[in-house]
Amino acid sequence: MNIRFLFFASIREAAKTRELELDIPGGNVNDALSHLETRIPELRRHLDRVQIAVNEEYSDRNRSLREGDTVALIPPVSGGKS
Amino acid sequence: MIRIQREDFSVDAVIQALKQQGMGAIVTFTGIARGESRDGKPVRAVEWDVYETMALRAFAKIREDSIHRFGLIDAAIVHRYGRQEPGENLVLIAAASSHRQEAFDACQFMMNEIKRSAPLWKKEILDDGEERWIGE
Repeated sequence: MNIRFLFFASIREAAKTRELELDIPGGNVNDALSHLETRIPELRRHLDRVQIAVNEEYSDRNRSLREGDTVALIPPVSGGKS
Repeated sequence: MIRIQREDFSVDAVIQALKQQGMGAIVTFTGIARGESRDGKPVRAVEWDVYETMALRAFAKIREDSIHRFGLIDAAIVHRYGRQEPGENLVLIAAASSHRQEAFDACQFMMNEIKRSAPLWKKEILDDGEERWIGE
């Protein structure tokens, strides 16, 4: 199934792209991230610190994915400073 | 009013757009690009990255929550993305109500919620060329 990944901020810079579509065999978010990290090894060291949003809703990594889902890798937001 | 935009905004225009009968107070907060980092280094510019569709949903929820929670008549959130130099506007929060106290409280609440939950990321570009994402 086709999954569209979105990258932001430091993750976008590590991935060197803003988005990527991957055809993966199915499964949950964790499975999809494994495929992603095989494709873009530079993301490996970032994956533990990102939150995941599926179709614009924060989601846990056990969530099953469906054809056409959008998985966003959300690094910590700038929060709480000024 | 909820907006995410590259271009600058006018505080006056937002106030005018909010004004309606029955209001006794409009409190605004304007966030400005700082010329100095937390650790005292000169900042040349800041750059924002945003997950725009998700941020718009987050802003809409924050606005509605604050209207209900503080009994506001209306509220506005305008956030810029892209690059800004020190002194430029970054974000505008406006809370309109019958009386001032709830409008002050709502402004604080909305800004805190944006910083806590909205998918927006700020990068500082220092004078010495160093670039760093804030909060990561």
